[in-house]
Parts: sequence; C-alpha cells; structure tokens
Amino acid sequence: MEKFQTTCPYCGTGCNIDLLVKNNKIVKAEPTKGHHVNDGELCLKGLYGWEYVHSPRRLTKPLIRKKDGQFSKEGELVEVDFDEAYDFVASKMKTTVEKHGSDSIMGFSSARCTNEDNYAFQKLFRMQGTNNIDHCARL
Amino acid sequence: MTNDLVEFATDSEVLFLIGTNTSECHPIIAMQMLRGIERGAKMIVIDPKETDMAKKADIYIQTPVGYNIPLLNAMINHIIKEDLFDKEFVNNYSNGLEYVKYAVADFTPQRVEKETGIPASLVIEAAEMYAKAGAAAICYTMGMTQFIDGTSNIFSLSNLAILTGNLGKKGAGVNPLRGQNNVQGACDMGALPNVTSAGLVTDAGVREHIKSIWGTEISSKPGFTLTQVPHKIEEGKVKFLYVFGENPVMSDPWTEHFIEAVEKLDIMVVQDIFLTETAQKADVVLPAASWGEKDGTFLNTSRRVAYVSKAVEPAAGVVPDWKVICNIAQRIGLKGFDYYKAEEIWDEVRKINPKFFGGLSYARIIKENGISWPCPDETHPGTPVLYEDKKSMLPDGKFKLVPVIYADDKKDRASLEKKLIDHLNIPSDYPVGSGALSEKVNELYPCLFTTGRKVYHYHTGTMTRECKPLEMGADIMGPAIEVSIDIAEARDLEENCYAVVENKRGKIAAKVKINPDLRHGTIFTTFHYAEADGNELSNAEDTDPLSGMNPLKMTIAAIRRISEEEFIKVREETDMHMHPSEQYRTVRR
Ligand code: SF4
Repeated sequence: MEKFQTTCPYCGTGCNIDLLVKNNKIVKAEPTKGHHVNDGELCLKGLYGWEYVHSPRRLTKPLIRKKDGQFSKEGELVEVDFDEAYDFVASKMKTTVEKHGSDSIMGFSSARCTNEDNYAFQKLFRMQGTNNIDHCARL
Repeated sequence: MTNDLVEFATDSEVLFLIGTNTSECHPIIAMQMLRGIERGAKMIVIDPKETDMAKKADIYIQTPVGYNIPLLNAMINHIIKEDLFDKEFVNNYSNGLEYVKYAVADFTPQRVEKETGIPASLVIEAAEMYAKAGAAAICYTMGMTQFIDGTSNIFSLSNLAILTGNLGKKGAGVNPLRGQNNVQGACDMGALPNVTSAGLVTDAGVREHIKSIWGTEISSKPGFTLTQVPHKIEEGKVKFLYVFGENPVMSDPWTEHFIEAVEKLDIMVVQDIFLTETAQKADVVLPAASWGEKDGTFLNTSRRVAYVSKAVEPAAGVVPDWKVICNIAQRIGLKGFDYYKAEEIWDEVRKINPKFFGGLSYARIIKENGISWPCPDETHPGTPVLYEDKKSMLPDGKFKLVPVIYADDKKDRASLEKKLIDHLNIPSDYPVGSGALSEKVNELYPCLFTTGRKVYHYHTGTMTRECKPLEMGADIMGPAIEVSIDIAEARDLEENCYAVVENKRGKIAAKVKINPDLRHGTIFTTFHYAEADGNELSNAEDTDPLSGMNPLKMTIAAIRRISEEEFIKVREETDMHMHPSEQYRTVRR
C-alpha cells in the first residue's frame, strides 16, 4: 500500500489527510499525525468523503449537445472525443469574442479546485481582454 | 482570516462567534475552539439557531435572522460609553473614531431589548466580555455576509476589533471561516471580476506588472459579478458562459430564474467531474481529473498554502482542470499556456505576487506542511498573524473605523448614508456602511427562511452524495425542512410529516423536523439536495450595494402540511437530481 499526504477537499479548515492507495484505488483516509492544522483528527467528510473519486458516475468522456450529428441547442448530450470537444469550445469562444466583443464571455471559476486551476482559468479570460470572471465565494 | 485557526486552542481568551455553525460546518476548527475552552477561554455565540457551540457558550444571544447591525452597534456604543476601548491602539493606528461614535449613538442595549426581547443586560455582558479580554477572536461565516448589508456587517465586526485593539496579536483578529476548501485561493489567484492575483484591475501599476509577465495588456474595466450574470444574459450581453467545478444551478439563488437565463446563452460549457445539475443544462461538458488524481495547492482559511497530492491515475484521456484550460487556450492561439506541470503555474503565480508567495516553493510547502502568506522569500517564516506591525494594508497604513447606520426601510439606506456623510463632513473616499432587512415577513409569507449545511454533507452534495458512508449512512434522513416549535404548533406540523415551503420564487417539499434550537418564526433547510434545495426560494433580486452579494441567508416564506400524494407531485415537478439512488430522484428539468 502506498501513502500520500494531501489536503482535505471540503471545508476551508484545510485538514491534512493520509490517503492509502492500493492498485490505483484509494482504500482509506487517515488523519495526518501531528499536523499543525488538525493534529491527528478529521471530521466525517475528511474520513469518508473520498469515495466519490471512484464513483461509477464520474464523467470520462466529453459531451456535446447534438441533433442529427450536428451541434444543436435542442439536441441531446452525446459523447465525443477529447479533440473534438476542445476544438469546439476554442472555436466558439474565439468567434464569440470576435462577434460580440471580449465582455460577451464569462467564466465561473471554482473555489474547490486548486490554485493552479484557478490561475489558469482567470488567465484564459483576461488574456482575451475581459475581467468577466468570478467564483462562488459569495455563495 | 487575520489569524491562524490553531490560536483558538492556544491563545484566544474570548471566542466571539457570530453567524457560524462551527461544529457542523468546520468541525475541526470547532475542535480547536473547544480545546481553547478547556484551557479556560470564554465563548460568546450570536446566532438565530441555538447551535451546539451556542449550547457550550458562556453567553448565547438568539438574534432574529438578519438583525446584526443594531446589535453590534449597541455593543460598540456600550464599549465607547464605558471607556472600555483600547485608546493606545485607536489613537495611534486608526482613523474614524468620531464617525463611529456618532453612528452608534442611537443604538443602545435597551433599544435591542425593546426591538427583539434580547435582554439589554446580556448585550452589555457580551460587550464587556469581548472588550476586556486580552486577546479575543471574532469568527464568522456566510451567516454574516449573505445579506444585503453583509459588507456593513463586516465593517461592524472590524470596528469592534479595531476599537479593542484585537488585531495583530495571537489569538485575536477578524476571522472569516471559509466554507470551501479553496475560497481563499480562488480569490488570491484572481478569480474575481475586479482583482487579479497581483491586485486591482483598475490599478495601472498592476496591469503593467502583469503585462511584463504575460506579454498582453489586460482590461482595466472590472468584469461582471456572478450574481449579475442572469440579468446580463437576459440583456444579451453575455453569450458564452464557462463554468468549472461549480454547480450554480443549485448554489445560486432562485433556481428557476437562473435556469431560464442560461437557456438563453449561445453556449454554456461546464467542466466537472460529474454530470451535475448544471452540467445537465450545458451545451458542452468537459470531464476533468478530480482531487486525488492531480497535484497542486489549496489555500486554507488561515491563508496557509498546502500541498494537494496526486494519489491515483484518472481515467484515460482525463486530465487536470488546468490542462483542459491550457488545451483550449492553445487552440484559441493564446500564448503562455504551455505549462507541463502544475508546479510551473505556481512558479508563475510567485512571480506575479512575490510579496505573498515569493518564498513558497513546492519543495518548501511540502517540507514545512504548509505556510501562511505573506512569505516574500525563502528565508521568511510566513505570516500566521497579520498586522503584527499594527499597519493596515491601506496606503496610509491606518485601520479605518467605518460608521454603520441602520434603516428601517431598505429604500432609505442611501439617503441616510448621505445625511451622515454631510453631517460629519466625511471625505468622499472614506467608506460608510448601512444595514436593512431585504424582506420583512407579511401576511402571505409570515416565516423567516434561512439555509445552511449539515456536518455530513458539503455544499450542493456533488461529491459527498457520491460517498456511501455519508449519503446512505450518516445522512439516511435526507433533506428535511426544520421549523421552530411555534410554527409547528400553529400549523399542526408533526415530526416526519410532509410539508411544502413556498414563496413567490419557488417551492420545495420535504419531511418536517421540529427543531427547538430555532428562534421562533424561523424555517431552516440546506442546499445539499437537488430534490429539495433551499435556494429555490432564495432572494436573487436584492443585492448588497457594496459587494453584489445576494441575501441567500434570508427570505420570507409560507409553510403548510401536505399529503404524501401532494409531496410526490411537488417532487416530480421540481426534481433535477444527479444522484438517482432512490425513487423520485430522477433527472427532470
Ligand atoms: S476533515 Fe472536515 S474539518 Fe477538516 S478540512 Fe475536511 S471537511 Fe473541513
């Protein structure tokens, strides 16, 4: 079994957790002993809140709303490959900015994701000339 | 937070908790507080709900939802009148004492008693306990900020701390307990419409500095706030919305309105780990690696940068969020997105904001188990306590005491503020606050309605509801509508009967739980459950003029008992649940 020390993904306390991993699966979470923040304790969410990582309902393929094989607001979400999804989002973002101006795009960033994710996301919007970026700290 | 949460255990003499249900929402912070109490610290709790912490407190004040400013002003009034404030601190390090003195003059503990029934003696006792402590820590959460006077609530709290010299020392401070793991980080990384990771977008120096690293000029115009977005979509201004790692369909107020708005977008992209209630509405859904499948850093509520470790491999093709973003940026043709690992992004952040993060390399963060910013260089130990030099971050280095007044009618706030400014000759760049209730109960909607969390679930439940020990074990009860005893008695509601709560925005149905801890006339529910999400009813029309925040913590509603048939009917109409593990939990809207 391998052990990885990490930080809890739930509330802002930032407890440290030792994740025990077997065959690429998390099997147990333990409080990091003697850690400054949580000193060997965790709440229920820290102890049992990791199971979602291996949930069968996790998304593994991109989806685009399509009708008769074409993008359509009336369509259903269908699986596509990664390249198609990335190309589609990039071209829509680009043409929206060209047609309606930089401030016609808006991003909701995530107070649950990492600093690095958040930094990259706001850079994506600001580099296209808008400050239309917020996250749900307010919520 | 100005201070380190561990100081609650080691240094605080008084803990002042207002609008926080700490043992449910931040259990380990509550543990540190209880360690402090074992050591001999005293605790004051102010909340409409008699929480577990309230039951353990030395003083508990049960306020009506939204009644914070009159109470805090009365405490400040008493502290000034009785000369209990820290003259050395106030004279040397702050401005605005005269303004505050004037603003609180009308607010007495006796007035609080008259308006709410809270005994004046209790208000005085709390004010004195706080003011006389050597180190007293104020802690709060959304129970203070999610109102139309949230910013003014915080002005009042910081007034208390400045007046009593409770800044810049261990065990003291003004401490927002952040509800989500990386709220602090998202703010510090610049995921805000007016602030970048280097400072305000309106500051030419900040823009120049960013340009020197990105090679591109950024806009000086602040962007839209999240709460403005539904209107901006309806006005046709926003055409493309990209949501990542959030579930606004459930977490935003007034669900119905938000859903109608996003349907008018040209494109909505949702990047997430599950097909959330929001992703179901999207035009493009992008999967990404989750926590445990990627490395990076979080910033906790004490500003502590901590390492997040990759423990397992994601499914084939699934990459971390930052990589998805870079893939798109590169296809658009943007430069500066060729990072090959998370650490490279972090090193750019350190260049963008060297004052805060310069000394925080991954190696050091891991070795020292996390360090609080500011940490400008590799030899700097980090800053668990802000303001130890007694200097604020404002240009003149002084702390501002902000006058906060209260309006009986929300429409009068601006005119009352203006009257105060004119009367005291307050300079135009000096902040002034005011409070008011966003809605008042009436005949049609006679109950106050508020929302919160439960210990075993988190936010909109996207993650915790996928964890069997939490969803099926601890939380076997599922969503419930909690009511105060008087509401139950007046409407013949029994424990576990079905009820519907509604107002002009929406309705939810669930089983009833009679909660004697709630102040009379109050209904409480959570926003964890798509099948009965409290935010269906939340107020999205009123905002805090200073922050743009909606008053999610208070609205008005009516409640009535319903039969099981009617319950099923309401559920069928309103359910949009992504966790269909039982009957009536299917995707509908
Ligand atoms: S273990 Fe509990 S208290 Fe600690 S960070 Fe996680 S959710 Fe918060």
